[in-house]
Amino acid sequence: MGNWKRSLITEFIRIGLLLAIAFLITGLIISFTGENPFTVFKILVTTAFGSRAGLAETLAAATPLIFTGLAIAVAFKAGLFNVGVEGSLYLGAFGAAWVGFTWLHLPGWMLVFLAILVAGIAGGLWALGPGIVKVRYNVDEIVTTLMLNYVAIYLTTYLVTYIYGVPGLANAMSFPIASAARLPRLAPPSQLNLGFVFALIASFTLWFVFRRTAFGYEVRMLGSNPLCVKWSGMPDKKIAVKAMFLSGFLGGIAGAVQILGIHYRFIANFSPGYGYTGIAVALLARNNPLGVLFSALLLGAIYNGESLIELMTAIPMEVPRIFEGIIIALTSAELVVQLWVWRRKAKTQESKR
Amino acid sequence: MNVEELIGVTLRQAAPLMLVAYGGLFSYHVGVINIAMEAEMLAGAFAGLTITAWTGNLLLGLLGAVISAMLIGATFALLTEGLKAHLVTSALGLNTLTIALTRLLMWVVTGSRGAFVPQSLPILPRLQIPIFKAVPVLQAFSGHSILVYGAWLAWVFTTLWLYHTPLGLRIRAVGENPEAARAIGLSIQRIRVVAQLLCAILCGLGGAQLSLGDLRLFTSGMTAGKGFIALAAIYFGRGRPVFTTLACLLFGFFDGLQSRLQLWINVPPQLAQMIPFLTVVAVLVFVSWRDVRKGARA
Repeated sequence: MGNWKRSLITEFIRIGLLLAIAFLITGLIISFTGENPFTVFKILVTTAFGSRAGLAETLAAATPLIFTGLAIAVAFKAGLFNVGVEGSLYLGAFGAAWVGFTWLHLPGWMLVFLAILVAGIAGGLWALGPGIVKVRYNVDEIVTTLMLNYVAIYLTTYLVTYIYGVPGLANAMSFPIASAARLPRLAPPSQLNLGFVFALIASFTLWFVFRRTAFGYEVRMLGSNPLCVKWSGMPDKKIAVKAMFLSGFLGGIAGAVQILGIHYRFIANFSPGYGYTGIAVALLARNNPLGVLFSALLLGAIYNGESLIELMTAIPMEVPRIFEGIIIALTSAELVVQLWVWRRKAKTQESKR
Repeated sequence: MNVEELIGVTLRQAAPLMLVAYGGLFSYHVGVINIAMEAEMLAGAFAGLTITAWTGNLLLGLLGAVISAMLIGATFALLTEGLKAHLVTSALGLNTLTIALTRLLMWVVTGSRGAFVPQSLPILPRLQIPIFKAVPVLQAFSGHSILVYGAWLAWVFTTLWLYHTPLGLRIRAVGENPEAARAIGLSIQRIRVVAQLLCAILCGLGGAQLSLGDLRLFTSGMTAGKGFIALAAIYFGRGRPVFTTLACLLFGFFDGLQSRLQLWINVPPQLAQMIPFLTVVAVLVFVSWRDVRKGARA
């Protein structure tokens, strides 16, 4: 138990330090543009947590990030660098919209269920390809998944421009989904919807899967010691492919939730990079499904504040992005605390690189 | 379309890819997967155009492109070598950061949020080759911006540097077998940092060719994955300069083709835009599949 406590404390210090550095650099950049960074940060915090409506909006912004964060955490746990969650998200979003505008006569709960299922499968299949060629031919999954993100964005844009699109609109979008397929809003007028509850369920389920099931154990083993998995006779390739599918599946659901809960139709290029922000979410949480909830909340708060920052100050919406970029860049860095901890470890074993 | 036009557009589209890919060869051979090339290229594109428009001096603009790319390269090196951050995540973070930062800076400098089209911009000198100009097909090789020819020079320069100088040998030694390199007394970290900075120089120039040499404007996120395509060109050739060049030309060809295709036949632009990215995936899978088969036979 003592060990557990100490690691929790180190985690808090790590995250605190990380946020402090990110705020410091972002603050410097803000002051460079002639604004007062403290005013900006104050706006950010009060919009995100200052009122019930603001808090609801923050939770709404966190919803897709929880899913993409989980998606990436699953892959990372298995030692796979799936940076293609953005692609799965687009495919899933389109799949969900397709169900929503095709089967208009189905009852609402069934539409929602089907839409989410189709979205998950579409996203999962999208990630499956890179997973299979990775285990069979050792094709670097980082490059393939990254490339396929672009393909997914162009493909879905094509679909809603030429086949399922509403003609005559400047911004390509699909037909609207059946109103029965809309996820109920939990705290109107905010955009918080039932998707957030789904995200909570997904987090806890995944936490359970990693803690208590054979599959979760296999995935964790594969990530921490692939050779051990291989030599102990576990089907390492199958596990990797399954993890990749699950990762894409969750990414697909992230897209579905945005369509069913917020946009009510597929809009080309609708994602501001949820799939990439998911990397920051997963890394901040060290791939812990429950930790993902908190890191998604943090980044959701920043996203939520961005429009108001633009409204109340002269700064464009880039500040949250800058903050996010710094966090992604720094999360895996050994900051001072870690250096100190690592050094004590390194005395006994030469750290490998 | 005629042959000259196709060759010309291929050369122009391939040039930024080539510059970035040759830079990436330094990273590749020192054993670093450099996804931050996208960020370095974008920074080069932005700084090159903005500084040139501001000072009216192309040389200063190019210098600014190189320095800004090197700043990102140095940050990347600091993160990955100094702080032992993960190569992929820190690079992705830098990419996000650079897209946002260039957008913010564009707004600070010009007040515009989408694109920066300078009213007056000195033109990168075009190199006319007198002998080629009279010959039908060869004339396509004349009259491009000097950076297009610079890309070909960079090929020669990179090959010579990597394979025929002591530093190149050290770079490759560190990449192939870090332990052995350490054993003979090389400072792995220092060589990695040097390779990263060399990479950044060429990435900055590649970005400058994109904004200054070709389009003569800057739009937010204008590199749109070109840094990744260059990275794939390196993978395609397994780090060999000749094959990397071929891959760049191939991707440049498709890039040029897709913009022309829309003019002649009615191919939806989105499908055409997918081509380079799909090519990359197909080529990677094919190359690896071949390697696995070879390995199985041996």
